[in-house]
Amino acid sequence: MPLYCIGCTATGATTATNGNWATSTTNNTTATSITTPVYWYVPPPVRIMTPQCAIARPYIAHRSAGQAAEDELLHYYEQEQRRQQNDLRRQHDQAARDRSRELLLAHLTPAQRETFAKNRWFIVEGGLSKQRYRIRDTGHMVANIDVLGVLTGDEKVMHRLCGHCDLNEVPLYDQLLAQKMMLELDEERFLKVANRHRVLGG
Amino acid sequence: MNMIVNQRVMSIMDRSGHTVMEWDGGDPVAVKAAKAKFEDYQRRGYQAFAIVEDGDNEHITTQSKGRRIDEFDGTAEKIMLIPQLRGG
Repeated sequence: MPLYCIGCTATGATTATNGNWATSTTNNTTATSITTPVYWYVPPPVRIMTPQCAIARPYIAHRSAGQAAEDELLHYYEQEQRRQQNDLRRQHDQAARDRSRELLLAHLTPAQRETFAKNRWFIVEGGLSKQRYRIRDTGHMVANIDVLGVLTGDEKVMHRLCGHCDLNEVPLYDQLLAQKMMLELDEERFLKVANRHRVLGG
Repeated sequence: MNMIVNQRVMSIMDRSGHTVMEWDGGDPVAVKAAKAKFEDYQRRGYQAFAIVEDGDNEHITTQSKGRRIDEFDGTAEKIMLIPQLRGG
């Protein structure tokens, strides 16, 4: 399902649709028929744009009414982000990735190196709050930090964080190290910058 | 064999993985050059951390110890420069 941005259409225009999504509109009221694409844009937080009298109005999907639709949109949005990031990641040559991996491993504790080798994640403790975070190597940087349950002491993911450097600047493993250092040494600033992603389906 | 007594290291994350700059902390010229490079990256939005490594020469054994620094610290044995992070 592609992403589009809604635009204003003139009164009297006809609209082609794909299900509930307007894909184009044709203005037949002028001497010449002009067909323009209609775009929908879904930025975070999720807002669904709907056409009313050819003027788009945003509304926030209510959890009780549109939970499934919102989950689907969030899922698609994250998929699209991952695809773009994978494309960027492939631009970093193997030598740079190996070098960044060495730097990361040199800054992990033995316990962190063990879980990283085995499971491709490691746990860090927030320098300020002592909150436990799990930084995952998922091949991309979309919401790769799990905020783990504290009170119960289990590993339940309460929500996820997404905060990273410019993907053109550094390879993946440098990104993970940067996240680790920020959480351990400048947690407050990282939490202000990172976006929070709720766990889908939860 | 030349040995740098007051060896200082600055690691800068970049497209190559990272670039390492080493200098003698007792050499004023070298310190000035390192400071200039530090400030150059700062102007570009990089963030700096002074790292205290607790372990052997290859790996740390405890959680990262260090602090964020907003000015060049010539006494820090290791400085890490990280590009600015933003929400995704």
